[in-house]
Amino acid sequence: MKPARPAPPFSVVGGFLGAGKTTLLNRLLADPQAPRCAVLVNDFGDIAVDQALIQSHGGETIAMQNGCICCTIGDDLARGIATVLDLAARPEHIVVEASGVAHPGRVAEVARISPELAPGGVFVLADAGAIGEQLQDQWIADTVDRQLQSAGHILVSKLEPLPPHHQAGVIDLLSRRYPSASLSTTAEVQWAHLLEQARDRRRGAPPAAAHARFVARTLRSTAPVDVRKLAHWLEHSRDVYRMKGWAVDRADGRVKLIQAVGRRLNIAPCEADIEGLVAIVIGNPRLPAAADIVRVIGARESAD
Amino acid sequence: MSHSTTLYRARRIITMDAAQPSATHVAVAGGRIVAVGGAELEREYGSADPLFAEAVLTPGFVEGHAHSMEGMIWKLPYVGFHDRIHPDGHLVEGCASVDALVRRLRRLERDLEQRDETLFAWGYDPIYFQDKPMRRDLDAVSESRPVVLFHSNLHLITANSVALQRAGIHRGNVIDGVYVDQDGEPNGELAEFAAVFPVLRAVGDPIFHAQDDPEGLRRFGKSCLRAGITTTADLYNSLDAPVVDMFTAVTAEEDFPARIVPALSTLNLSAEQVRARVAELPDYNHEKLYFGAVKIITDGSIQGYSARVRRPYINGVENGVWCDAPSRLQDMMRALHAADIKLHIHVNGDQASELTLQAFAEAIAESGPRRRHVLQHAQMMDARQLQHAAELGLINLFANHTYYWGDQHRDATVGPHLAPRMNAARTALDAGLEIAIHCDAPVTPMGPLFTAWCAVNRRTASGREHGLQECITPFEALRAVTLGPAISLDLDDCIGSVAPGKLADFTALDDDPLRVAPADIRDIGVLGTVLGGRWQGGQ
Repeated sequence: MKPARPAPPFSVVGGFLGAGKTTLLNRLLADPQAPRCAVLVNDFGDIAVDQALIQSHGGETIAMQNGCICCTIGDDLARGIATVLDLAARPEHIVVEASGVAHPGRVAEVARISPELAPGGVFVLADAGAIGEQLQDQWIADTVDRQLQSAGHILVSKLEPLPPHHQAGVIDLLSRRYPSASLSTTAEVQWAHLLEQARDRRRGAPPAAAHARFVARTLRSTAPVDVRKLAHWLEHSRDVYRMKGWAVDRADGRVKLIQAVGRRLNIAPCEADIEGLVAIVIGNPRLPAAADIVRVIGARESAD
Repeated sequence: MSHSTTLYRARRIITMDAAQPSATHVAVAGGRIVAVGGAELEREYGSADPLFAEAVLTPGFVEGHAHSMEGMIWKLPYVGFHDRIHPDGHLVEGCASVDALVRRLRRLERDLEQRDETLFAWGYDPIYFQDKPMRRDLDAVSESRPVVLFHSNLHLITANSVALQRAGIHRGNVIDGVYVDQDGEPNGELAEFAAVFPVLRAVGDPIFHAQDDPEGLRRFGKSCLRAGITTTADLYNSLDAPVVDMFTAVTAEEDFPARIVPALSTLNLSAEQVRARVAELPDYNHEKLYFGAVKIITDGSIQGYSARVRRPYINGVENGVWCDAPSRLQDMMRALHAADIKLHIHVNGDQASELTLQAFAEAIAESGPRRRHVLQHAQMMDARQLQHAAELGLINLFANHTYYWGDQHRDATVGPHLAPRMNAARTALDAGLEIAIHCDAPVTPMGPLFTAWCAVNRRTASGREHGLQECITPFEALRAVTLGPAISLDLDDCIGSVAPGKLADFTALDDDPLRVAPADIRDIGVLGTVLGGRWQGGQ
């Protein structure tokens, strides 16, 4: 028998073709803060990291200067996972890129069984500009829906280029259809987020456990909001990293786009077809539950 | 170089050549047919060799869709429900009850040499059992070593307690692919990657490197010979360098008894990469090896509920899986059509065939007609789709699953309305399509005569009639295992019929498939084959 070695958390990054999986993984692979991780990708052809960051390139494996390795899955995920588990220096975290048509939740389940793997997170990307049509498409609607249903965490990509009212619609759609997944944008994802999710899952603690550094909340309300109260809360909270939302302002009945990065706050009128409030908030674990935030800012109904 | 000419005389030669449908004599020189006719040929070529005097000769059977895995998998002992012939020719009796299966496995277990060696076997199909064998039955085989059965589809396994324990599977961590008994305990049956991986990781995967095993390919050749096949497709192959080298060497062996047509899998390749591979592979071709075609898989299987269907499965199972994003599948088809590459497209469900027809309609509009591509399996195509395929000049291959899964399709998958319409060979012929029929070995055993019997009689394994309106005639069925698949493989210039100039590939039968009662076609014996004029012997 092999000596017992620590089981690395096993996370899956999924999402339909074009959702931005490779862009995200490229960024994570190039991150100097990366843990010693193994990233299993479908195709090296798409991996475009700075040559200066690559330590060595052999057949099916690229070793990065930051300690990460990147392997191709080829046509056999089992072989890819076996290869990284057999490395002399077993990685601290394994991240698998699920193919564009795979069911990432099903792939992730291997870690619930295998004694050599610990459960990590299931991250499913959604292309903000395409997801609405994809969920109606005659060929792929059910595939895309299945992927998002299995997500622990939905990452919205390519949100910023869209007009604000369209952005609100995407966040509204996803938060309504997949209420059990947390929601944020790919721009916000760092290694810390992947690792926190993994650690939480392993300990069976909710994502808001005290040790976590990152939580995401989705705020929803069908009633108008007091935008002044919302601004006040954002300016005084020490727990919000970023926030983006659309609200019908109770003061004038108009829709406002509210964006916060740290303490920097920007509120502007905009066109968006919403009833009350739709927002995503990224913050530290002391961030109150979504329902409590909604109550503080004066909206009546909420869903997390 | 001049060759001496040999004249063979047979009880009858069914030629599949419209110019001379039936003959008794065929003259062969240099591996090719030089003349076909009657006794008058003896005046030109001298007295005939009587080797086939009692036999009926047909064009060498062409298997349009099989996998070399058929040879590789016999590395493991077979324990399936139906009797099956080992490539070496001996009969392996089916295990038709749980008791029989356990008895067979116990015997195999006693033969293992290493104390801790895992007992593997293959071919088991739970669909045929009322009380299917479970973990506990396999525990009766061994409580000290792992026992793992690969199901006939090779995607599922059933494992004993030792194997489950080593993999870390227990009632506390049951996931989707781990099936449980009434008490919530894993029953030993495991499906899909997440459940199967931990087991094979713990006990070793015996078919991991099967693709480059030369013994496996030799067994595949023997399976062909036994079934009367002189040319077979190998319709899904990574064709990595070691596999190409092995195929090139083994098929060139003098006694290798079949021509092989491997198709490159497009999995994980871009259209540009596929073009580059296809450009270099034919350099390895010789008279028994034909690289150059490509296989694209769009969906899964109907019996596995992984085929993409337009109407839901009757028992509420969700729709199947695409093997790649539909837009990418269509882009691949269009790009490779434009590059004049021959395509074999796996389409089982009718949504997958619809996607493919749409892609080819666009491809032909863009680039004009080029190769005649092949829709493989095409099991659920309806009259409208078949008409469309005919207009596009496509070729259809149908499965013999009317027999093997007809009952299940009626009762459990697509239901009583659609099931009898599946594998619509009659409708396809009436639409003007070129067709062939296939076995998909190792999914079902190699056996063109049995496949032909299925298409002619359309009976299920339980004996039920299954959509008799789709029956084809014995002549049409024989064409669909000879000239039809030769056309589907783009080799009808040299094989598929007994005609002057073609390769001298024949199958020798002990009776006449066009004269026996249609219900008896499957009982005709294969005496052996002639490949390029050389008698390969039989069983």
